[in-house]
Amino acid sequence: MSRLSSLAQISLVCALGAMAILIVFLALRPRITHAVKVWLLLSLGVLPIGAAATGNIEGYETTKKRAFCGSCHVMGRHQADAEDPKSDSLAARHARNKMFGEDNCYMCHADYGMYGTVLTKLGGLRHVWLYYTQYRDVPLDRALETIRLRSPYPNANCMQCHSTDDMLWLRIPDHASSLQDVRAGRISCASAGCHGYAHPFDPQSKLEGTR
Amino acid sequence: MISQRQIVALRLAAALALIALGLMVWSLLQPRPIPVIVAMSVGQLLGTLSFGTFLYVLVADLRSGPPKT
Repeated sequence: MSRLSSLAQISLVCALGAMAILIVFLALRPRITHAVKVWLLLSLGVLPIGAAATGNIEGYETTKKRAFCGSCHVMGRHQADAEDPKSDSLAARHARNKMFGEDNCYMCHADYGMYGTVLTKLGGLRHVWLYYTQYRDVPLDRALETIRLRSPYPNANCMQCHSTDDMLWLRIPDHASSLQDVRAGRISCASAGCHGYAHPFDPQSKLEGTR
Repeated sequence: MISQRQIVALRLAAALALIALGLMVWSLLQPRPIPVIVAMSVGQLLGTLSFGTFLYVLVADLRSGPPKT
């Protein structure tokens, strides 16, 4: 179990406090006096609302963590590569950047549109569904052969940080010559001819390696 | 005065809250996809039902006025 954040600790204290009161209430079955009503207000209202408010924020933040993505075995090698200090894959190099850090999967794969957070979370639910219906018992090596993005990785996600407007960036001949194609998504930043695939064992990466 | 039916409703609310809070604790101690998703969906639903039941009993109690002496 990883170390709990302060938010998780607050949620845990609220939840356990409420549970203790409720267990006593159900076990002792006291007469409903004024004092019991106040205890019930605490254990059915104040403390659970506190636990839910902090617990939901904590749950949302948890879903952004690399450890959360890697908790399904099919993502184990992605996680290991991102955490490998010697790896020079795009994913690992970005994970070493403090702006990405523990949230590097989410930072690169999030949808940055107006309803991006909701759409990203819906996509995540789809991943969980696919995992439990198709991949749960599939060995890692076999799973890696079939797992791929549903649609090409959008350069717009890279451009959240690498704006393509910077003069230093534009001074590189390959950037300047392919500027319109990069912005239009006709050339992928994360491809063999440019910055390489994000993960070294992507199915497409293997295919091109055998050519 | 709280009726027997309202007492049963309060016990039901307490049981629902216990399950919901248990799910929340599970998701905090084991932050994996299923616990987190269950806590943030089923847990929220049960918790809201529990709080709603408590509010219903509270309002009914307040509307019945002070106990007669």
